[in-house]
Amino acid sequence: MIDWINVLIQAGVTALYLFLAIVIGLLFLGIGRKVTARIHNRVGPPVYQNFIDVGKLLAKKTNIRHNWIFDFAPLFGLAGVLLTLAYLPMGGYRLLSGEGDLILLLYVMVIPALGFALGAGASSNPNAGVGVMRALTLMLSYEMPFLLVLLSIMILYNTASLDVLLSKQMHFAWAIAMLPLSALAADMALQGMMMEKPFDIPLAPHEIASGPMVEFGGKYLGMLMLYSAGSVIVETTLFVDLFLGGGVVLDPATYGILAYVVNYLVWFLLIFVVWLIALFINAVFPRFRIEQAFKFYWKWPTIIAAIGLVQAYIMSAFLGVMP
Amino acid sequence: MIAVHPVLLIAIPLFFAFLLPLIGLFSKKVLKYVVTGTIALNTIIALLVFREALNSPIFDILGGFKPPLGIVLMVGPLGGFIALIINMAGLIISIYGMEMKKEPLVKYYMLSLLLLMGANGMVLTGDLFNLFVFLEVTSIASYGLAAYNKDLKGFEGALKYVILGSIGSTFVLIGIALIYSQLRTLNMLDIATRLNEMDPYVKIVAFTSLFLGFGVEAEMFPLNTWVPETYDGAPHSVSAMFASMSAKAGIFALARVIFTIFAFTNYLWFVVIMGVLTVFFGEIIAYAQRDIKRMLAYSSIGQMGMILMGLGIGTTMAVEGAFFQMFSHAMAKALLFIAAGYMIYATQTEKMSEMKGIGRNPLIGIPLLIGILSILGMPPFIGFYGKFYILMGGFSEGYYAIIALFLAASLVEVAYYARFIKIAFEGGGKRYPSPKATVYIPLLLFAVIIVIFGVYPKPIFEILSHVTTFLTGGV
Amino acid sequence: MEINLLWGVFGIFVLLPLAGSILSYLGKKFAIYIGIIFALIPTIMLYPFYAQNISELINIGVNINLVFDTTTWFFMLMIDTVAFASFLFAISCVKKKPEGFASLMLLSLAGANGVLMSRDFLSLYIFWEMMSWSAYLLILRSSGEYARRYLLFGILSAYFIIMGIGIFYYYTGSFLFSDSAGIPLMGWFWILFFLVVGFAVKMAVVPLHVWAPYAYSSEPSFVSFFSGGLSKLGTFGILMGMYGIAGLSILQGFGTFRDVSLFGYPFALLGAFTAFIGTILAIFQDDLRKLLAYSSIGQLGYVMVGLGLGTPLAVSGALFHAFNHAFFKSLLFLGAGAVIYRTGKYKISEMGGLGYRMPFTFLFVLFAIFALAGIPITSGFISKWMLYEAAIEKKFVIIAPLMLIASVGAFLYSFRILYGVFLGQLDKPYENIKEAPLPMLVAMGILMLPLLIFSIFPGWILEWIDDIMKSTGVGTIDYNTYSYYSSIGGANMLVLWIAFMLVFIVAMLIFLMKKARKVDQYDNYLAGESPPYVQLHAAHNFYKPLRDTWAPLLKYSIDRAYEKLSRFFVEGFEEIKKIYTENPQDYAAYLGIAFLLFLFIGWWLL
Repeated sequence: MIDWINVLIQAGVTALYLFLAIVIGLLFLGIGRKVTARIHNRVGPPVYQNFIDVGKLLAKKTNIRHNWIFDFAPLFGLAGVLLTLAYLPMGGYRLLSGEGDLILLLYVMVIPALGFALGAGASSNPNAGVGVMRALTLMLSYEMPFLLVLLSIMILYNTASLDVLLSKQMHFAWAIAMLPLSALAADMALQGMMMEKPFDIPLAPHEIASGPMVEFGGKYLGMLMLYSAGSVIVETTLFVDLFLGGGVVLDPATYGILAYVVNYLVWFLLIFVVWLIALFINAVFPRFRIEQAFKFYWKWPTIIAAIGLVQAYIMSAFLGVMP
Repeated sequence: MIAVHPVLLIAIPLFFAFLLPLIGLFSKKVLKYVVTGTIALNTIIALLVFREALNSPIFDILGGFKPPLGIVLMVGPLGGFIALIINMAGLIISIYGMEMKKEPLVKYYMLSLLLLMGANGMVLTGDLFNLFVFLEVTSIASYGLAAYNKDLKGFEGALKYVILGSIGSTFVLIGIALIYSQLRTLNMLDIATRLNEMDPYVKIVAFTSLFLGFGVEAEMFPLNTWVPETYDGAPHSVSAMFASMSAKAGIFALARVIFTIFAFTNYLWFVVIMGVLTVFFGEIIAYAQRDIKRMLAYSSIGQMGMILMGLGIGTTMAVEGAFFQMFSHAMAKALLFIAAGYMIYATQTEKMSEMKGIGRNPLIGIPLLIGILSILGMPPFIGFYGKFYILMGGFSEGYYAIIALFLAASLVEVAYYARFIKIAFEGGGKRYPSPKATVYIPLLLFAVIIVIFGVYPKPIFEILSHVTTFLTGGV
Repeated sequence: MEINLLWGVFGIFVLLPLAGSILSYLGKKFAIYIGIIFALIPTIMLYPFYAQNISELINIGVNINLVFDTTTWFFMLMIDTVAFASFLFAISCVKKKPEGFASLMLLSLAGANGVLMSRDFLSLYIFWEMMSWSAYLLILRSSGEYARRYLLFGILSAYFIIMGIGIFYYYTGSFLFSDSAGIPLMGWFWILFFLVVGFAVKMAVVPLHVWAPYAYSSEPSFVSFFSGGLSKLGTFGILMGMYGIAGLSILQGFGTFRDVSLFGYPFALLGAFTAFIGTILAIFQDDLRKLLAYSSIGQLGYVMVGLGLGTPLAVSGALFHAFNHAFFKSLLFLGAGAVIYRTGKYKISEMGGLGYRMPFTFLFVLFAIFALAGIPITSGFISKWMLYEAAIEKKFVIIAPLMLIASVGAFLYSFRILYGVFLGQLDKPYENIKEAPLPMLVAMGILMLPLLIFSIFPGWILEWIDDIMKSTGVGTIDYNTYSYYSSIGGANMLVLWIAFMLVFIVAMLIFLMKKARKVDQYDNYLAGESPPYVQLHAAHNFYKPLRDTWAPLLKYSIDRAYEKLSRFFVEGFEEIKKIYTENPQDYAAYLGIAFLLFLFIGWWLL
C-alpha cells in the first residue's frame, strides 16, 4: 500500500527544492554577470538583475510566436530542466534519484535541450538553425570526455545510481580524490556543457545573434531564462554530485534534519565554487570556433579522461579497490 | 511383359528424321508440326518407359544375341528419368523451334530429331560401343546444327566443336578398344563385374580415355573450350538443345562410366576437383562476358561442373543432388536460352548492355526471373534442391575447402546474373516487339515446371531414391 | 491434437500469406487491399496464440522441426505488425504495378514467418532464401543497381549460413537444432562463426553493411518493412545460433572474459564499432533515405552488442532494442516516405518547414526520433539503458563509450531530420502542400503505439523477453511492471512519467498566463539584413564544420574498399578469360595436356 501522505510530503519537498534551485540559478546568473563585469573592469548590473528581467519578460503583453512547434521550446525547456533537477540529489537529498540512475539522468538532461532546439528550429531564422547545429556539434564534442569520466566513476564505484554514489563517496572518499584526472576532464567538459567561453560559439551573440534564442521574446524568453537558470544548477550539481560527494558531509541517518540543512549549505558552497571557476575561465578566454572546439575536446580532455578511465579500470579490476 | 519398347525412343525420331525430306517435298509448312508431334509422341513413350523402369529396370536385347555379345538397351529408373527430361525439354524447345524461318528447314528439323535420337540412345544403351555410336550421332547432328546459321560465328563454333568433338570421340573409341581388348565384351554390366580381370595400368588408360571423351560432351574443364563459341554461333533453339539435351546425355554417360562401369570409389575426389575447377573457370569467365549467349554458355559450364562435383562427391545425397541438378539445369537453361533468343531477336544485338528494359514485359520478365533464380539455387525453385543436396553431400564428406571455393564461384555467378537482371529491368529502354506465342509458351511451360517441382519436389526425390542402386553399380 | 494445432499455426502464418501472394497478384487493382487483409490476419491471430508452445517433428524425407513459441511469437509480433503498417501505407503510395508489390511483400512475409517458425536448418534456409529473393525483387522494382548490391550480399549471407549448416550437418547428420550433441568445440566455433557472420549481413554489421544504404533507398513502403521487419531475422538467427542451438555452456567453453564468452566478445565489439560508424556516417548524409539507412546500421549495431555480450541483461536489451527498432525505424521510413510522396524530393536540404503543413506526420516522426535517440518518454530509452548497463556492469571500457558516444551522435542526425525536413523556413513550392493521406497516418500511428505503451509499462514486454531468456537458458532479468534493474542501477518509468506530467503542467501554467500573437515566418530578426529572395533554410551541408574535422578519416571508405576489391577481381577475371584463346589449336592442346595429366595422376595413384 502506498503511503499517500508520505508521497505528498515528498512531492512538496521536491517542489521546494526545485523552486529553490531555480532561484539559486537566477542568482548565480546575476552573480555571473557581476563577476564578469568586475573582471572586465566594468560596474555590471546588480546581482538581482535577472529576477527583474524574468519578471518583466513574463509580464509582457506582446508576445510573438511563429507556429505551434515554436511553443515547444519554453514548454519542453522548462519542464525538462525541472525534471532533470528532480533526478539530481541536491545537498544529499535524493528527490527522485532513487527512482532512476545516471544513464536515465543523462537522457533526461537531453529533453530540455531537444525541446529548445525544436522551438528554435521552428522559428525559421537561419541563425537559430546554425546555432543549434553548433550546439549539437559542441555536445558531441564535450560528451566524449564526459562520458568517459562518467564511465570511470561508474566502474570505480560499481554503481550507476547517483543516490548510491553519494553515500559511497561519503563513506569512502570523494571521487575527486580518487580520480583527479577524471575530475579535471569533467571540469573541462563542464565548460562546454554550460556553453561558457571558450565554448560559447553556439550562442555567439555578436555573430549569430544569440543563436537558438534569436527569435524568442516576452514570456518565451522569460521561460527560457528560467530554463538556463535551471541548467546552471543542473550542470554544477552534476559535477558536485559526481566528484565532490554532492556536498554530503553529515550522514542524514545519524543527524536527521540537521544533516540536510548542513549538507544543503555545503552543496550550495560547492556549486558556487564550481560556478565561479567556470566564470573565471569564461571571463578571460576568447572563443573557439566550433571545429576547434571539437578538435580540442576530442584531443586533450579525451586523453585525460581516457587516462582516468584506465586508472579507474586498473583500480577496480586489478587492485580491487571496492568503495 | 514390356508394354512399351524402349527402342521406340530411338526408332521413332530416326524414322521420322528420314521421313522428313519426303514430307518436305509435299509441304514445308507441315514439317514443324510433324517434328513437334514426333517429339510429343516420344515424350509420351519416354513417360511410359520411365514408369515401367521405375518398377524394375528394363533390359531389352536387340538382334537376338545374349547379353555379353548382343546389343542391349538398359533402362534403369535414372536412365528413364534422364530420357524423359531430354524428351520433355526437346518437346518444349521444338515449340520454340517452330518459329525457325531460315532455310533449309528440312535439314534443321532432321538434325534436331537426330540429335534427340542420339541423346536418347546415349542414355538408354547398355552397351559401350553403342554408346560410342550414339555419341557420334549426337555429335554429328550437333555439328550440323551448330553451323546452321551459315555465318562466320556459326562456322567457327561448329569447326571448333568438330575438332574437339572428334578428338573426344577418338578417346572414347580408344577406351572402348582397350576394354574390349582385355575383356572381350562391351556390355556395361558385364564389364563392371569382370573389371578386376583387367590390367590396372590399362584400366587407368581406359578410364582416362573414356572420362576425357565424355568429358568433352559433358563440358568438363578444360575440355569445354568449344562450348562458348558453339553455343554462341548456333541458332537459339539449338543452344537450348545443347544445354538441355546433349550435355545431359554426355554427363549421364560420364556418370555411368564412373559408377556403373568402373565403380570408382577411391579416386572420386579427382572428379570433385575437376568439377570444382569447371565451376570455377566457368563462372569466372562468364562474368567477363559481354554477350548474353556466351554468358549463358559459360554459366552452363559452371552448372555442369556442379553436377560433376555432385557425382564426384559420390554420397547418395550428393548424387541425388547431381541428378536433380541435371533436371533443373535442363529446364532453366533451356528457358534462358530461349529467352536470350527472343532478346537477341528483339534488340538485334547480342550485347547485354544494349538490352535495357527488355524484361519489363511480364511475359518475358517473369519466366526470366524464375529461370535465373532457379539457376542461382533459390528455393522454392527446382534449382535449389540440386545445389543444396550437392553441398550437403559434400559437407558430409568433409570437402570444406572445395565447397568454399565452389560457393565463391557461385557468388560470381550471382554477380553476373544480377548484372544482367539489372540491365534487363532498367527503365528508359526502347519499346520492344512483344514476344510471339512460340516464344512465350515454351518460356511459361519451363517456368511452370520449375515452380511446380520446386514447390512439390517429392516425386523427383522418389525417383532419385534409386540412386542408391545406381551408386553400387546397378543400373 | 497437437499436430493439427501446428498445421493451423503454420497455415495462418506461412501458408495464408503465400496464398495471399497469389491472390493479390491476380487482384490487380485491388492487390494492395488483398495484401492488407492477408497481412492483417496473421497480425491479429497472434493474439490468441500468445504463450503457446507448439512443436512438431515432421518427416519430409529428412526431419524438420516447426515450432511456435514465445520467441517466434515475439519476432512475429514485430514483423507482422510492421508488414501490416507498410501495406496500409502502400495504399496511397504504390501506384506502379501494385500487384507485384503486394504479392512479393506477402511472399517475403511468409518467408519471414517461416524462418521464425523453423527450428531446423533445412526449413530455415528455404524460408530464408524465399524471403531474401522476394526482397531482392522488391528492390528491383526501384533500381537494378541497388538490387544487385543487395543480392550479392544477400547471397553472401546465405552462403555463410550454408557453410555453418554444412559443418553442423557433417557432425550430426541432421538438420535439427536439437540434434546438436557431440559436436567438438572446434566444430562449434566454425558453425557459430559462419552462422553469426551470415546473419550479421542481414543486420548490416560493419563491414558487411555496404548494401544497406542502397537497398534502403528503394520504395519507402517496402523499405520500412525491410529495415524494420526483415532485418530482425538477422537478430533472430544470431539469437537462435548462439543461444538456441549452441547455448551458453558451449559459448563459455571458448573461454570467458568477465563472464562473457570470448566468442561473443569480438562480435559485441564489432557491434559497438558498427553503432559508432553507422552513426557518424548518418550525420553527414543529405539523402533522407541514406541517412535513415546508416542510422539503421548503427542501431542494429547496438543489438549486435547485446547479442555478443550474452548476459541476460544484454540479450534482453538486444531483443528489446530490436523490437523498438522495428517500430521506430519503420515509422521513420514511412514518415520519410510520406514526405517524399508529397514533395517528390529526397534530399534533406531541398525540403524544410513541412512540419507546419504536415503536423501529424511531424508528430509521429518526432516520436519515432525520440525513441531513436532514446529519450526516456519512449521505450527506445529502456532498451538502450539495458544495453549500456549490461556493458558497464561488466566493465567493458571500449564497448560502453562507443555505444554512448554513438547515441550522442544519434541526436545530431535526428535533429538533422527534424530541422532539415520539418522545421525551418517553408519554401515557396511547398506552401500549399497537404498532410499525408489518411492510410499513411494510420500506418504511422499504429507503429507509434507500442513505443508509447512500452515506455510506461516496460514490464509487459520484458515478460515476453524474460520468457525467451528462460527458454534459451540465458538467465533471467530483474523487472516489474514499471521498472527494471541491473546490478548497478535501475529506473522507474511510472515515476518518470508522473514527474514529467507534473512539471509539464507547471511549465504549461506559466506559459498560458499570457497570450501570444502569431507572425509570418519571414518576420524574423536578421540584424536588419533581410534579403527576401534568398532561401533562408540553413540545411545544406548542415554539419559542415564537423565534416571538415572528420574529413581525413572519412576519406577511408568501406564502400570504396569493396569497389577496389571488385575491380581487382574483375580484372583478374579478364585475365583468366584469356585461357579461352578462341584458337582451336590451343584447345586441342589443352585436351592433350589434360589427357597426359590425367594419366600421370592415375599412374601416380596406382
